[in-house]
Amino acid sequence: MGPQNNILPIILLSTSILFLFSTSLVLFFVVQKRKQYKHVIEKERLENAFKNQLLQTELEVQEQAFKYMSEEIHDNILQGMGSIKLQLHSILYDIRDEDLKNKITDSNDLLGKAINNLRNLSHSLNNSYVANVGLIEAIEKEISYINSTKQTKCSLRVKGNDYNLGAEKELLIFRIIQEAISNALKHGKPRSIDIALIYRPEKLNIKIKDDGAGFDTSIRNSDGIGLNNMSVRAKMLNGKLDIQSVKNSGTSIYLEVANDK
Amino acid sequence: MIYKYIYLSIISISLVIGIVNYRILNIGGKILTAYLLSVLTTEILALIVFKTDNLLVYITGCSFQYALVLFYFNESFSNIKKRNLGLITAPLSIFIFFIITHFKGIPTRKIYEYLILMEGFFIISFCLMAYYYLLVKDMSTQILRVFDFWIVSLLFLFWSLSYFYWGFSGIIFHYKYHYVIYYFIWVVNCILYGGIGYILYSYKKGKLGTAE
Repeated sequence: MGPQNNILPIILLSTSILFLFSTSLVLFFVVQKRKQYKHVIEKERLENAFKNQLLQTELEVQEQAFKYMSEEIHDNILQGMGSIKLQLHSILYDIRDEDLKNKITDSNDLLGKAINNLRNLSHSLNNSYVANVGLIEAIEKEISYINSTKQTKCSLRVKGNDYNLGAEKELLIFRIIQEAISNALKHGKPRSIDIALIYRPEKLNIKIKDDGAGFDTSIRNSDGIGLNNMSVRAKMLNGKLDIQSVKNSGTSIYLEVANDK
Repeated sequence: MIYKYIYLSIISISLVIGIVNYRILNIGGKILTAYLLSVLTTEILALIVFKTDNLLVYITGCSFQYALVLFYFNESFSNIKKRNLGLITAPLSIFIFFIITHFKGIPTRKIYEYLILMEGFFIISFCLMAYYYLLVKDMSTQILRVFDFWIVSLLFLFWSLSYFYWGFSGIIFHYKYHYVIYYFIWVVNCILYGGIGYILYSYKKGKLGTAE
């Protein structure tokens, strides 16, 4: 047996040990990284859950604030304004001056309009309002309120046989639609806003389309709070929200909510 | 000879993949394409031009490829790049190596063996440093989808399999069944270069991302 034959088993053994070591190291590495990855994903999931919980609480607080404002408007401001209206009406009988009478009548009309607007606002802020009148009627009221400004033409299309999704879900949908309309009016200055409710047996599809300025969906600035609120509400609904917008070409918002009933 | 052609074809295919995807590859991928080009050039030169005495071609080629691999590590991993370990180690180790071998009057065959032992030692060390970096880095992507992980694993497994065989190739050459080992090394080489090609191809397909 030559020296080369003596060294061969050593080479084979060394290679086997080195290969075994490197393979074990790679496997150990992969297992560790998988654990680490799972940990990162879990951390992200918890962070998201916490964020969602926080936003959900914020929205609940907001909803409470809306309710409080609605009650305040209804119980105090509207009551007061109603009394003023009655007073003005009674004053009319004691006044002989026609010019002053006309002025008071005009003021009374304006006050009546303000009372109506405030009542509408009070209704739309009240979280039991949607449950009382139903989603479609609530949206119609919102639309009539926007149309009364005569600056933007707003329309509602309902397809399919409508059904009740439950008070909580309908309120969330209503708030998303309100947010979408508010965003469009605030940033897009559209000529028209079209809302479509498509009732299918298994799901409700909602489309809100405007012909306003649109925006770059990749850029989310501080105004993105409204969009965030919409996303959170959509998550709370277990729904799918898709916002498509191109600068100067309007915005389309799609919401899909499953019918669990 | 057929084995040589298969081997050259595998390197060529991998090189073509690297060249086709060159624009979209990260810096590491680009260096590896250059590495494949260097390997192919060395093999062709050794096969055709310097058929009779090609050991010098291999020594030059290996030194260059070794420098490219360390350059790849330097550019792909922040912990290595921070101190430019790849850029410093490659020229310094080659310089010191050739100075020592020159003054010691070591024969060419032995120089080649020692060169490969040195290369293997440093490349395995850099692989461990790269693993350390990948291990401590908090990544939001799965490790199996990281381009550099596959490259490092391929280099690491390749060198751990061929380290001693290359280093003692002079002794193995006298062994009765040395061709069995050479076939084994041939397979390992084919896996390395084919693997690099496949990883470059997967990078293009968007299956793999970088560690950064």
